[in-house]
Amino acid sequence: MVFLSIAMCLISCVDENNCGINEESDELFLQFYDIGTKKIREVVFDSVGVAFANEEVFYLDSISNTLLYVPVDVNAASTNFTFFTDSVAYDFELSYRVNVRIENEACEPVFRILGLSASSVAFDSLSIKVLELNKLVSPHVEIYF
Amino acid sequence: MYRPMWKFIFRATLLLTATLAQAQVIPDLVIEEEKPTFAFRSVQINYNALRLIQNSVSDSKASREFQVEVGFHERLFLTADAGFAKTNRGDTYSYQSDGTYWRTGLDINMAKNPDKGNLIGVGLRYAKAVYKDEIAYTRSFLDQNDQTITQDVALENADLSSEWIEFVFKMKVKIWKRFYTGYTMRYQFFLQLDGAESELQPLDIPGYGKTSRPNSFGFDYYIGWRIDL
Repeated sequence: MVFLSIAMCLISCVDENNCGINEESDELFLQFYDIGTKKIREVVFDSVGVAFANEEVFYLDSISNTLLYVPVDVNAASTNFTFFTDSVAYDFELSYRVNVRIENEACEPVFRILGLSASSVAFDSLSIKVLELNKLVSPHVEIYF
Repeated sequence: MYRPMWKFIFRATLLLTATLAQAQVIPDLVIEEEKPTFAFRSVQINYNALRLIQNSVSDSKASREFQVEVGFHERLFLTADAGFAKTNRGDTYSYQSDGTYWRTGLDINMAKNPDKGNLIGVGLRYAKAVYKDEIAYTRSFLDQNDQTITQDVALENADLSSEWIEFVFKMKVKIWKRFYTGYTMRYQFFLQLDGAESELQPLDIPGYGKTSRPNSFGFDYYIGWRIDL
C-alpha cells in the first residue's frame, strides 16, 4: 500500500515537457486586399506603429509584404495599430480579452487573445476571421483598401 | 427425616438459580461496557512532517500544516487540518502563489483494536483554500525585420478561493507512549475555483496542488501527540 501510494504521488507529479505545441498566439496576422478586386495586394508601409496601453509605441520599419504579423498588448484589453505610407496613416484599434496560463512549468506562459473586435478603422473595410488568435489560422484579420 | 433433605434440595436449587442468574447478568454487563458510546475520548495534535522535509530540500516551496483529531466515538474521529503554502515557479518567468487552507471531515477507524489508538481507516473531507497569485514575465516578439520588441507582463489575482472534496485513506500507529505516526493518502476531486476572472489563470492552490488537475492524489506523513480524555 505504501509503494502504491508513492507511485501514485510520483505519477501525479510528473509533467511532460511539450513546449511550443499550443495553438494559441499572441501575434496578430493581417492580410491586405484590394477593395476593388478583392484580391490579395502587396503593400509597402514605411512603418507600422503598435501603441501599447502604457503609451509605449513600437515602430516596425519598412514592411513590404502581403501578410504582416504584429504583436498585441497583453497588459491591456486593446492595441492601437497605425500603418504609415509616404502620404497616408491608416489606423485601427483591436479590442480583446487576455488569458494567461502556465500549462507546463518548464515552458513559457501561454497567452490567449480572444473575443476580438475592431474599432476606429481608417481602412475601407476590415473583416475579423477568428474568434481568438491562433497559430494555425492565417490571416486573423483581412483589411480592404 | 425428610425435612432436612427437602431443605438441602431447596437451598441447592436456590443457590444454583442465583448462580445461573448471576452468570447471565455478568456477560450482559460486559457487553454493555463494550458498546460504543458518543463521548469525547481523545484529542491528537499532528504535524505534517513531509512538509518539513519538502521545505528543507526545495527552494520553490514553503508550507506548514497542523492537524487535530478529536475522537468522539470508539471508531469515529472529527479531523481538521490547517496550513499555509507558498509556491514559486519558473525560470524564464516568475509565478508565485501564496495562501492558507483548511480541511475538515470525519474518519472511521477500521482497526481490529481501536482502543489502543492505532488506526487504519478511511475518511471524507471538505477543503477550502484562500490565496493570491501573480506572474511577472518579459515577453519578446520578433518582427519580420528581425527587430525584437519586449514587453514586461505583470498580472495578479488578489482574491482567490478554491474548494474541493477529499477521500482519504489513513494509517496511524503508536511509536512511544503518547506519540503516534502515520500517513494519509488523499484523492482530491470536485475542484471549484472562484475569483479567477482576471487575465491570469491560477496554477497552484495551497493544500491542493496544480489547477491543471481536476482530480489529484496527495500524500502526507504526520507525527502526533495524543491526549486521552
